[in-house]
Amino acid sequence: MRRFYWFAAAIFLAMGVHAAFVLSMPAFVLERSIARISSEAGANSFFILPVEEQRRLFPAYPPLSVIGACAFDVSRGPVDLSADMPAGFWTLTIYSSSGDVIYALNDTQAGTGRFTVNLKRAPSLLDMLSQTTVDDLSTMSGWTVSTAEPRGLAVLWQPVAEAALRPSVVRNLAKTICIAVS
Amino acid sequence: MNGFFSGFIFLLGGFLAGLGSAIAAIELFSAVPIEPESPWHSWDISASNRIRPYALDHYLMAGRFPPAAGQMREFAAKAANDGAALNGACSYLLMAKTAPSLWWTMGVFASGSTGFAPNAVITADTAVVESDGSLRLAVSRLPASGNWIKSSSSTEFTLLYTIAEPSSNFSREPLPLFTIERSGC
Repeated sequence: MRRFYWFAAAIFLAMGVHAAFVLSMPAFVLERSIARISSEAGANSFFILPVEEQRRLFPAYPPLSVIGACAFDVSRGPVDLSADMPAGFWTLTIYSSSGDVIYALNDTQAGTGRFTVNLKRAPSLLDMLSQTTVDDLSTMSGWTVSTAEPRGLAVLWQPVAEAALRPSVVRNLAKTICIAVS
Repeated sequence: MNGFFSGFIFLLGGFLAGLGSAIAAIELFSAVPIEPESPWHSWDISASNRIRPYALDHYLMAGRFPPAAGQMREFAAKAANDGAALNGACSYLLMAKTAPSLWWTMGVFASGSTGFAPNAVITADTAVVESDGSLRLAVSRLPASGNWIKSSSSTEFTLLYTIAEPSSNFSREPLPLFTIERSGC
């Protein structure tokens, strides 16, 4: 009989470990990746991803592609991402720190290459009840993205057809601004 | 004392079973075949997918970011249409009846590598479409005429096909997939 209890405990433990691993371990891996690639630039700062990191984090994209990123942190206030993308195919993907895609945009959907995305923390239930949201304070033009998780990564990606064109695309993408707004 | 020891063994077994089943579920069951006979698999990370956590973990556990659902779709094939594993010692012909109208990329991903090797990828920007609108890609170790993708050495490899998804639901048609025929070894 005692063995049955141990067996039942083992089954429950297996289910718990399975769920905990599936739900938490990958996010832990991702947070470490974000911390590693943004260690030099820091939070709320735009940087061009080195080719090696690009190959590691986005292996499905062609090596000639240019990827810029901003590890944002909206825990202390909103963050603006302002870009001026050239004509042609590009995508903007905003990941939460757990790997969820919370916002995605491409050239066709944007309708313009020049845009600003305002990232801010989603209001908590308490904020909503006490009417202390900051929606009315936002006066910039562009899109507003609310995220439940304060940290994440905004990724701008543009494919490049020829190697000779890559430096100019890098220079242009590097002009993107990611900055905390007070 | 003996009872506690056997209890510890049970709990250790439970822990390992939970860990092993999680990894197995992520690696083996998170992908869905596109069609019953198709060699292409895809990981659906849209919110409506019941196994979304496993599909998302497939990307994150590999230390990489998932494609944005609704923006880009990624397909992988480890075998040709005849079911045989893709091998660098063989040549393959990939064909799509109609060339994708949106941006796409096809590359050879060698096991254990990070990213594509030089010449191991072709994109919509550089591929040449046939006069009848179809698309042919040759995958081989040695250069071939037309659209050529360099395969890896004699080891097995994976084909990774990424395509932009239509922006509008109204224009949403099945994404064009390639057949994979072995043309020689």
